[in-house]
Amino acid sequence: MKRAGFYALLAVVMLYCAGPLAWQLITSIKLSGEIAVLPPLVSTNPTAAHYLSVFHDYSFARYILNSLIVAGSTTILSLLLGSICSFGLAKLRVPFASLVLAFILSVSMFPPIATVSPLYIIIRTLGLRDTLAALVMTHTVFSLPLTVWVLTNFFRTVPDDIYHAARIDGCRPFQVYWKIMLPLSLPAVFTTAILVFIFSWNEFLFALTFTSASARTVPVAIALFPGIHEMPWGEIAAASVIVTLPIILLVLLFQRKIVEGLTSGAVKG
Amino acid sequence: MKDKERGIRYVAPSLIVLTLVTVYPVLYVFYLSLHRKLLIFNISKFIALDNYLFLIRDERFWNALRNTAYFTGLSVALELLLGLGIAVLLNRSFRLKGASRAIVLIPWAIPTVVSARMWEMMFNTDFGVINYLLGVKINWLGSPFWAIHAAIFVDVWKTTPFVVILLTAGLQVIPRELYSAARIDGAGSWQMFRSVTLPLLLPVILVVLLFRTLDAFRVFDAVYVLTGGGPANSTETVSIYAYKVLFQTLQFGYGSALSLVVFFCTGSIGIFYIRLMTGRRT
Amino acid sequence: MAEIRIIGVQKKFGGSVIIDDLDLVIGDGEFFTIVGPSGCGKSTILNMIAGLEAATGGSILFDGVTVNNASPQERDVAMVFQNYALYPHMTVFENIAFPLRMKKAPKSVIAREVGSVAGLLDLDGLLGRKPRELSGGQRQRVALGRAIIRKPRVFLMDEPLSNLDAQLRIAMRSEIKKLHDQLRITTVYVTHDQSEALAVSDRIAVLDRGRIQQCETPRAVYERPANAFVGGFIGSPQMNFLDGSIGGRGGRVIACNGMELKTRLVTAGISGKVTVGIRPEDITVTGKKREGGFKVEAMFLEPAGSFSWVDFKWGHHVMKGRSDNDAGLEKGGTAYILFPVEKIHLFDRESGMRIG
Repeated sequence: MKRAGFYALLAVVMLYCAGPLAWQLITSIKLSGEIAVLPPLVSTNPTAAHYLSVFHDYSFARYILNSLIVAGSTTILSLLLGSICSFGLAKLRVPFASLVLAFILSVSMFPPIATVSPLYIIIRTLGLRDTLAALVMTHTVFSLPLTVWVLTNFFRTVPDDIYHAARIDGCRPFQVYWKIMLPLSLPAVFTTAILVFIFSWNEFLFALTFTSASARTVPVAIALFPGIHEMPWGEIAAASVIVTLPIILLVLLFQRKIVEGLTSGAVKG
Repeated sequence: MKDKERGIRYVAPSLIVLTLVTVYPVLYVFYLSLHRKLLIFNISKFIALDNYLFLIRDERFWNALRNTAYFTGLSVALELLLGLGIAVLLNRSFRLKGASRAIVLIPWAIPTVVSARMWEMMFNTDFGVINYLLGVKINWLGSPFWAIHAAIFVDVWKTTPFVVILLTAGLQVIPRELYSAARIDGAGSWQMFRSVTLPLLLPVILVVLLFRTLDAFRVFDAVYVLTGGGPANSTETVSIYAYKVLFQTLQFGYGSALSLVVFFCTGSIGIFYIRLMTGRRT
Repeated sequence: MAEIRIIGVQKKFGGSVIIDDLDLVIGDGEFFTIVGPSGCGKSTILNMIAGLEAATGGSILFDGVTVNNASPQERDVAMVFQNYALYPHMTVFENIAFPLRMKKAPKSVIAREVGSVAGLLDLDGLLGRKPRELSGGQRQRVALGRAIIRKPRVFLMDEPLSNLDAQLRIAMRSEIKKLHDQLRITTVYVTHDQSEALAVSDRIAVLDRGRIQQCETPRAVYERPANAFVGGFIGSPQMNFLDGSIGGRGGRVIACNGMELKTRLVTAGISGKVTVGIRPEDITVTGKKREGGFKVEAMFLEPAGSFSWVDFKWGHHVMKGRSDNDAGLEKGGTAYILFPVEKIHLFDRESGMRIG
């Protein structure tokens, strides 16, 4: 392949990946009258009106706060539970450790739709409908397989002698986990945290089913954008940009870590 | 032996919540599927396999299953081909490689709901940028034929980055010396791809296929937001049908039977791939 | 400081017995080495003393108190690992200070102690660095520092030098020895390298397949190996072994390789098949005929600086001996060997046990 041809192909791929988001950004700053017009031009007269409207008329601040609380709490809980479990699997002699790991992995293959109806009934019975707690609970559990998988793989690369040395130096096993294992695994913990955060931030089915108004998260708000006769395209675009930007920022900054997390274990077989 | 007991105590919390929130619900779904349960009227009556007998004769279910299979097959195939192409492209060394990789990740990171909304606007018949660029006036989301393909397209766009990431990682662990050796043996680019890259990448390809097939088969949010299953149920997948029965008509019994179908299908797909992988290894 | 007493200790893993009925007494302040081929169970013994692995049976006592159920921190032992096991996210200072910090020692005490340990081990300039910025020898010294800082009752070392290159290994082993002379802490040292064991130990236990073959001073183990395994394992190059038999003239003659050797070693009355062991360093090989020498064929010379090792053929046996550099040997030429009869080791061919 010639150099020029390669770069042309690369440009097409980049445009394909980033173009739609860029278009969304362009749309979000057009005047309402310019959006549904052919040819679809770049705005000559950029406006922040849609962004203001999203917060003003559609209480997006509330949804964003909800999403932040859910994704943040999910991340912390999932990492706490998952890392303790991984420590046990990787460093303590748990019987049938590989079987346990296989079970946890197989849970990640469970289709959410197959659990959503009983979970709905349980949540309703517990009086947790339309609460953030319901979402934190389900998101935490459904992100656990990922957390346990990535962290167990990482903890296994830490030599057993580090665990032994810490025991000899006077640590109880929990202290080994807390003072040695977690701090020295910070990169892997961070990678996992990003993946879990993104998963929870983007999750739709549970958020749609378990919330109605006060606990609504951003994806649900965007999916259910009111508009019976005329779609508020400008507002949808603005809202999309708002929820996507933090995630895109994470991706651009931590691309390498995300890739590490996603490929953990998959390549080695 | 102390470590063993302690280990069990460390692993137990996760195992218990996983069981409570995933395994127990699946059993509960099975229980529900043997009942006629209408949530609003508080009706719950044991009807044995009636829901399943109804399901077999339910033309809308078969339509949804066909849609799901078509969606899964086509989108996974396209993702793999496109992902392989992009992975090979990005595996060369060039400037701005890191930046290109980050950009490729963008569709993966965008919330599915947002990507569906984005494409919905671009697929618009009257002012959508796609019709404008193609110079046509197709009602993409309004005609059964185009709608399913538009949905597949959106899914492919969204998930190809994941395929690229895994395949790139797979490409990187192939030793460079193999290519040098193949070149010395007189292989051309295509032959090297055929006889070195592809066979060594096969294990990773299988992992990719496993993840992607499972995900595509249980697809919900992308299609639900893009078309809502329409027009005329032409894009209704089993998950969407189950969801509608569950939460729009509130028939928890029949809805549960439908969602169990998704469970058993994905389970079979998973077992099929895992057998394929372990079979290859031995 | 403590005396360690191991009584009837057994370790099974799954169905296989790794350590069988082990009895050992390690004296207070002693430098005790367990040496043996890989897989002989020596690290398992160390881990059981440390409390990292539980014994399946028997008891382990420190100063007369059973510690079987005590956790590692209750046993107050320190350990140096083969791969050092330094905490990669901590600086040298933090690594060395860690055991004191776990004991909740005050900051001022920690600073003072780390300072003095760093001085002792020549680590003063490195305290702010992370382990990955250190050389192998420096890492080794940090691991030692972390072990000695809290003045443990027992010091355990699991192949501490085997990741170092040959020169550094010899330098470090004399440092470890010096450190022990200063601190006088009971030390249990595990290695597969017999020369290391001979160099540093007060006493050596030679271990094979989970059983102690001999447990004595380095000199005794070298000079009077208890069986053929110890004879072959200790000493380098390896001891030569020949088949022979005792008989005639009241059991004072060994028939071996078609020769007859008179010996004072053999007590009258014993007869039968034996294995004859002779260390290469006890065999002098020359090119000139000498009184009482046996004729052999020189096959190969391996210069070792001030002398050479010689492979030679004596009858059907290929053996090794040593020669002076001016011995006038030629590859393939005739040579003569000479060895003092009292340097011969005799082992029962059936049981492998030493005779006499």
